[in-house]
Amino acid sequence: MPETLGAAPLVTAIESLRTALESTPLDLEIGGGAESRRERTAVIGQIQDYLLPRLQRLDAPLLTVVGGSTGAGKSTLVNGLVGTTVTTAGVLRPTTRAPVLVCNPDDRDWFATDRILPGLARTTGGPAAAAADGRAGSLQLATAPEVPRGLALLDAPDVDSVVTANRELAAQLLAAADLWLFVTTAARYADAVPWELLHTAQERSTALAVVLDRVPPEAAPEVSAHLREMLARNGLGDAQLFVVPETELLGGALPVASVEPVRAWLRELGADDGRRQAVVRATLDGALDSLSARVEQIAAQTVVQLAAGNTLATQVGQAYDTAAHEVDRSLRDGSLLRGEVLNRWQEYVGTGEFMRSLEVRIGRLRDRLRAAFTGRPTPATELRDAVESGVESLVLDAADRAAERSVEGWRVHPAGKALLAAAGEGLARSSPQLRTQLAQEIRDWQGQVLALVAEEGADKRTAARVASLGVNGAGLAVMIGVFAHTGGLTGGEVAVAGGTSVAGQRLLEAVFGDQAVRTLAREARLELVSRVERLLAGEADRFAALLPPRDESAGAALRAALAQVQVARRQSAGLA
Amino acid sequence: MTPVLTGRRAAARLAGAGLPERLQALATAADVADGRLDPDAVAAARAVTARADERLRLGVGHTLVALAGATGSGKSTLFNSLTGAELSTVGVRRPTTATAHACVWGADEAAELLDWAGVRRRHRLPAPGEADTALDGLALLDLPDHDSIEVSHRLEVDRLVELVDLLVWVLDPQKYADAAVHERYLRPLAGHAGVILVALNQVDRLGAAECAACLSDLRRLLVADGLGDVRLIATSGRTGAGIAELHEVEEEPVAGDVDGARLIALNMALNGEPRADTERYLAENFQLPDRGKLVDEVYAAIDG
Repeated sequence: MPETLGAAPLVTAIESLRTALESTPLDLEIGGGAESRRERTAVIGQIQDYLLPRLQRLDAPLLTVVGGSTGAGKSTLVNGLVGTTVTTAGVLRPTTRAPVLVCNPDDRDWFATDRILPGLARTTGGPAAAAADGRAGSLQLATAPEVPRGLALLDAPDVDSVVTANRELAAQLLAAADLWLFVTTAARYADAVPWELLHTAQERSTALAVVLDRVPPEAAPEVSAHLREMLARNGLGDAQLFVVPETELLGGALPVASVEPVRAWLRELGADDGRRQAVVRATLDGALDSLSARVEQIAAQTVVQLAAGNTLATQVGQAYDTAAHEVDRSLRDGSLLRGEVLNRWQEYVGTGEFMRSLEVRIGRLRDRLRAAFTGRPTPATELRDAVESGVESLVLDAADRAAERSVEGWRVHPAGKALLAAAGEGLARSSPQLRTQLAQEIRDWQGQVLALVAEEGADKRTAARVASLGVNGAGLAVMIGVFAHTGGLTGGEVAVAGGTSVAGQRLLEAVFGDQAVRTLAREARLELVSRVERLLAGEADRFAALLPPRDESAGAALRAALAQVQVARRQSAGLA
Repeated sequence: MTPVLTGRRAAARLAGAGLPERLQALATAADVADGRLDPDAVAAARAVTARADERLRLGVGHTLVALAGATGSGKSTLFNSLTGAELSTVGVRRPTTATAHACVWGADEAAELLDWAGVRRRHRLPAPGEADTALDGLALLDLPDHDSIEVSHRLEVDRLVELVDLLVWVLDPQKYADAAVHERYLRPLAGHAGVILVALNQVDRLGAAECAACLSDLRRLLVADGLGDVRLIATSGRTGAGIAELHEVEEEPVAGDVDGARLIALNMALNGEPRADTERYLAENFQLPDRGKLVDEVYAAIDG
């Protein structure tokens, strides 16, 4: 009967915590984001590599992870401890590539399955095969009768190796340990990197023993005293300390005598069920205790993430709102009536085509005839093109400026800067397809204006005027009206737009004196603005799509899952 | 072979290579980029010009060379070997050296330069009145470690690494593949191979074949760091091997010193000297029974 001691609710609670952690959004590169992501990976890893399997089987053998610095002699030590070569040692760094787990042949079944460390595929076939294999994500399984029953040794990669994957794997394996056998050397015992891990061990109350390896005999008293003092000062005074002198290796192996104290200590631990259980319990409790602070730190980060996401979204929103306003203002302030549109309008009016279009059918016929003879577009078509390109460049300019403002805003924000770097070039301008989309949108709008005018022409009040201009002429007049700030042409604008032709001016006054036509122009403008806003929203989406989803309840969800774990722990403690 | 620590010539050579014009160009570029490009990049460019202007203002009469390395790599022992005096405290307690200190060769004490670098502990060699040496104009710094639990040491290294003219990274067989040195220091220095020298110290702890394998592996890591062109030498502060690489020594090589000859051959092979040159050098300076075999072994180890 496995010794689970009412752990089932705790297992369920911890599984829920893992699910909550997995769905916590932490993607933005804002202060503490990277650390929180690392911490999350570490907590999730520890949950599946260690906490869940250990809670399910408290009677499983004690896993001793041998960890330490590059070149500290871990592999040589492990070989010395088990009395045979199970793992490769050498002068080249880093030495340990695939981690090696060595246990008593009777305990093999505990480790051959993916019960612990499910992410690492098991390999067998000796050190040579593992070295040749050398692939990441595997765990080499070896057995040796010298290893006591109920205790396994795992030779982990270097904690400070230049190979990042090695370092990460080392941290993962140490988090899965029931007991750390920490190996350092006379040259390394004051290194910062291993001490960070020792502090972690202290914080999590992980059971710890330290091996001070490669100590020149003459330096042994001073160095070991100093290390003992450092351990005591850092709250690790209870850790067992073994000193292994620097010696010539005999055929690549340490002399038996130099590792005998460590070996004897492990043998005793293996033989004493009570002590072994105490070690397992202490480390397990420490790991469960550490969850509160670690998960709380991640929960606190969700607030920072949310705020940063909102800031970035607001910057883009404001930039594109401003762009929409700019377009709207330029449409109203008559600036489009200057330049190309005005020239084409005057040409349209001045060539008499506008007048001729009073006679709708004749006008259209002449347009076609003239176009057929000369091969060039009629002034009416040119005016429509001018309107199109005028609006087009207005919107493109505004979209370019909005993109530029968004990029400027994001560039000075750390999270924004990282998103921009990941997105690559191109965001600082409007998107390449905007011009085509815009041209299509404006043509659709022009078509819609003509349809509106035709519809309006069916109304009695405006029928006469529209009929007198023809749908085409009236439509163009409405489009011109869109660009004037009153929604119709008045006073000076009429003089400008009418050009030198008195007839043209009169006609415009007559046309825009009509309330119905002014209403039409206003409607047409609103329609144009809403089409432009839709396009600009699409432009803004290029930025919004880069932002991770913002979840306001992420922190609360994590804390609730954590609280469930605490409740379940109290329950299982009560049962025990 | 060219000794590395050649006194004032190094700084003068750097200053002579159109440096003022290039700094001016960089300053102009920073001004033009201001407000247009990444503000961090502009600030970094400005920091470089400010630092370089300040350094040039202090004159190029001295070359500031720093020995940097991990705790226990033997920087201080090497420093003492180079100065020929017990100036640095050597100990087994880690970390040993807490603040940088300097040894200045020549009549000029380089006071202003060392004030600028913020190095207060100083020594002078040779004693005033003695003859000039080939090292005249060299200001050698022994830096604290960069990887111990003493954060203040690391900050001192970070500060000085940016100021000195030449950097000698002292690595050792235990620590040569540590992330602490490759990721934090060597990779950011990619492209500066010309002002960096990497010394694999404590080679006396390795056998000849192990030493060659270790050096090849270190070379591989340096290539990955973007420092493929950097000069790499093997040294031993304890036995004095390889020190001749670092500066010109007065003593003639001992004719029958096989280990010394092997180390010199190794260094020449590592730095791409043709085999024939290495053999000639050994023939001229040593009397070895198996010179050809030794050179064969060394070149086979490096090429393999």
